[in-house]
Amino acid sequence: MTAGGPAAPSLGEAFRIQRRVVGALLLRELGARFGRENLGYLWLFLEPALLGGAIGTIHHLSGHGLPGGLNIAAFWVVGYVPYYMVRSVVNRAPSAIVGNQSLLYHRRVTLLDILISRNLLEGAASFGAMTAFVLVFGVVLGEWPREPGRIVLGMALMFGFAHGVALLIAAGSVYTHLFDRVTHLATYLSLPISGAFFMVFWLPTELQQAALWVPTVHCFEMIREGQFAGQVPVTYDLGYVLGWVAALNLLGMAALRRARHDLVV
Amino acid sequence: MTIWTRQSPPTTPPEAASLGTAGWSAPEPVREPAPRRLRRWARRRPFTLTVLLPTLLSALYFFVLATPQYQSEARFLVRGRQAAPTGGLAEAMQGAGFSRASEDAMGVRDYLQSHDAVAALRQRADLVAIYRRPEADPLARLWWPDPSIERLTDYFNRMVSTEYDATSGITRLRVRSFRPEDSRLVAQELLALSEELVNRLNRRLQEDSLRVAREEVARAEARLAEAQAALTAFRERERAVDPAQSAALALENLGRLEGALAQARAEMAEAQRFARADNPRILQIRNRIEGLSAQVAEERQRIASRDLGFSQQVGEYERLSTERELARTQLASATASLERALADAQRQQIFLLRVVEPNLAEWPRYPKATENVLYIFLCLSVGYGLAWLLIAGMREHAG
Repeated sequence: MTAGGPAAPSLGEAFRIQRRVVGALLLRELGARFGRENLGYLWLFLEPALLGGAIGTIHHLSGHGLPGGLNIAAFWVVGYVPYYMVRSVVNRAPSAIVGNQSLLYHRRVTLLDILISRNLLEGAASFGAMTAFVLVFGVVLGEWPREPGRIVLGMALMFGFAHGVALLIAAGSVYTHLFDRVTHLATYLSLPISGAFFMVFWLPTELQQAALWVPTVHCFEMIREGQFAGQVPVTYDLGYVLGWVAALNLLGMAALRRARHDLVV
Repeated sequence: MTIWTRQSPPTTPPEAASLGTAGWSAPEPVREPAPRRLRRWARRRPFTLTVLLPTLLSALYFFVLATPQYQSEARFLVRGRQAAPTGGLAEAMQGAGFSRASEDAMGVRDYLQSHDAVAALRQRADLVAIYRRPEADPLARLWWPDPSIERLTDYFNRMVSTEYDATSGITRLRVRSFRPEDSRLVAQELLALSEELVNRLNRRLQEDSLRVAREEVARAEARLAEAQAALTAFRERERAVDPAQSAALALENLGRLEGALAQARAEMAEAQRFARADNPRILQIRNRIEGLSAQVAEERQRIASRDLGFSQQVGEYERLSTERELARTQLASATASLERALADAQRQQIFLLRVVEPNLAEWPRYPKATENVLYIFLCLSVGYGLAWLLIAGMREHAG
């Protein structure tokens, strides 16, 4: 806040600087994680793609039919890839600050920048994998998404949710190592209730109401509407998810500010 | 370094802070004091401007301006066919005691939310007038004097809610409007419409299940009539009621004649043994033999000449009568299955039972002023907090 230049930069200027910082951090993260050996940056997309593809293939071969006659491979991949995004964003959150603490010596780098860049990288990877899969399903199986906008919106909300959770966890990791231990377990256990591998209309009404408390279920329903609109009934409440995303991000950013205050570099 | 990391977060909102420095660095142009002061005030109090003011405005609207809305509620049950489980998971859930939603109740609910119901309702009650009552406040009432069906349906779905509770199987219909009588009228008409829908569904279901059985009976009847007609035509053409029997009769006749002939020949042989050739008895026997032979020959020829015809006639007759028997059996079984289908259709009837009749509201339940204002305040506060944090985060870069 002290005058660095001739005049304090405006808000737009500050935004431009932040964008550049995040961009630079993104490149650094990319290089640090994937390097330039063998396939290099391609691994970014290949990782979720391979996992999603494997899940889809296994279920396609095992050949259990799905209610509503959905395409089996498409259903599992469309469920798995967004879940992969949430899991990797959340799982990588506890190590975000500890691993990048040295970056804070640069005065323009903030904790939020670090988290945004790391999460954006994961989000972009999953988004790329998702796009690739959607295209493959369209070309090979003729299963073009019915409403692509819904997929994008669902993924964006899912990203917002994961980002908020990651902010909170990262802030918490400043104070205790507990998050480091528990996060993987929690994401693993949350798989069955996350909505990645079921649809709300499969469930009896009582369970439907219970499932709709989980915000990710709404996101998955939205993504599935984008892929299979009209083929199966979907239930989601945009306002509910938006509320979750807003609240989580608000708390997350506030917690991060507080953590920055208490963090001794 | 530690000095920098220990830097405390800004204690004033960022806009206010930046204004201070901006006002410091550059001389401000001279302007009318009133707007400038207003702007300054706005910049200094972003929370008041973006959160408190809208909340206050909404409170003013909800507590002072908004027209009270009366709610009429009705509940009904839709009983009908058992929904079949659709998959392994659903089946397991059903086994575990979870009930599945009845398709028919869902159908009624979907119908009540559709443009179809709105269009039907419009013919019975003046929906537009109901939702454009003069006392209604301009924000809550229907905005268009002559709305398109889409707009009307959207508005209608805001004012009317239909919820289906799967555990009890009760559908709850709630209608809001600006007068209690209007709410009750709309609710009553909607109930009547649902009943009509259920009746229509029933008729359709019965027709569907009975149509096949009825067609089968009609086909069997036609076949029987055809077989009967063919048999009659055959009899008229061949002038024989039963060719098999007439053939048997002719053969029997021939047999008797041949028997008589054989007996006459035996008598002849016996007479020739001890009587002369001109014995009158021999003459008599010879005459009889001649007569019998002639008759046998004639009869033989008759049968022989019609031999081919006879067997053909018999064959065709048999074919026709078999066909008639088959047609009879088919008709009997088709009639039986029609009876069964009728009984099934009666068992599969869907019923709509009114549990709670629409009431006449005495107290306006809507709009829920306090709740709405609190909700708006909460949403705006969260939004403000997010914006503040984001902007403050950005400003850290500009230090």
